[in-house]
Amino acid sequence: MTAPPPLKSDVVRFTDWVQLHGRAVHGYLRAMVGQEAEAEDLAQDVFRRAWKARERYTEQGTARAYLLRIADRLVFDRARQEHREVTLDQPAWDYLEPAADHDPAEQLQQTETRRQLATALEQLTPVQRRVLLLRYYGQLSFAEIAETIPCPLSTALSHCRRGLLALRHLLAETAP
Amino acid sequence: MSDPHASELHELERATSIAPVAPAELDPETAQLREGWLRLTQLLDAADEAWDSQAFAHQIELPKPALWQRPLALCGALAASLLVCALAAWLHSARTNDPTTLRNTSVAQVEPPEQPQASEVTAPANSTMSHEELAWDDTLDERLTNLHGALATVRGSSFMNDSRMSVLSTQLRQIATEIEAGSL
Repeated sequence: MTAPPPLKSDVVRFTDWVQLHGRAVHGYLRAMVGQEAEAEDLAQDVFRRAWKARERYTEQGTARAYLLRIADRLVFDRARQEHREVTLDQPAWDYLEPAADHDPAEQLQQTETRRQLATALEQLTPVQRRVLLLRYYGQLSFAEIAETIPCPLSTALSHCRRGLLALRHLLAETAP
Repeated sequence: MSDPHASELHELERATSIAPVAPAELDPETAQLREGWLRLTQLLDAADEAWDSQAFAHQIELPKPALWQRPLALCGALAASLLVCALAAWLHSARTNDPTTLRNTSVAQVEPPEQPQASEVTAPANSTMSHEELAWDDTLDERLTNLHGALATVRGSSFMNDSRMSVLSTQLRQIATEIEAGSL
């Protein structure tokens, strides 16, 4: 990953930052909450918070990891406020239709992809999902993931292993 | 990092590596984990394909800084406050020196207290009266009109008295002249 641009009081550079990391932040949130609209709201909130805290930001680790920690905190804060566990909502995923101006074949393909992703994520417990998504989108080390969750390193490794095995089993079941 | 987890950590780092890893380099267990990882990342990549980062960047409304953080806005607010204070001070001084108020006061002072009409129409001679209270007063107008009429009447009657007196004195002077001439 390229070195992140510093967070200064510079809207243009911050916009570049949003474009560079927005996809990862949004992808993480969508995979965690399973609802497009909520993920988008949360992603905007992540960048607003990062903007507010830009004076306090220190470049320890990557900017993406920093943003994903904010995103992760937001997901669990919101879940705590609503007194619910972070779980995927299958009906919500069914509504994740692509934009109407897309080609019908492309729409069908995207719908199928999202359905498969929802099925894959459902194989994972919330904490397994969290570990794997932080690893993928944030490219966090396992030590950083353990710090973010927070849990001992051995626990983070265990969640990762079990999650990957669950996905491997799913792949074996769905293989033609 | 503790040694008991070193091998597991190394295995999982290879299994979840973003960089390509040749399957031949992996032991069977790590290869299985790697398959699960690749399946997940393929699906995530595909789901993120339609993501429009530019549109998202435009949607974000960055919070505006607080008022005290905006020097221009702060200066504007300060100037507006000073203007309001100056206007209030000017209004206060104008009200204090208002000739209408003074005239009302003097009229009220010269009116005999026993006259009910005067007490009814006397405007409050209060210097703290608001600007709205200084608006046109029909009672006062009527009172001034009456006073003007009364003055005109007095002046008119004295003028008439003066005329009569002058006619009388002229006639007396004419009689005196005739007596002196012996014609009367």
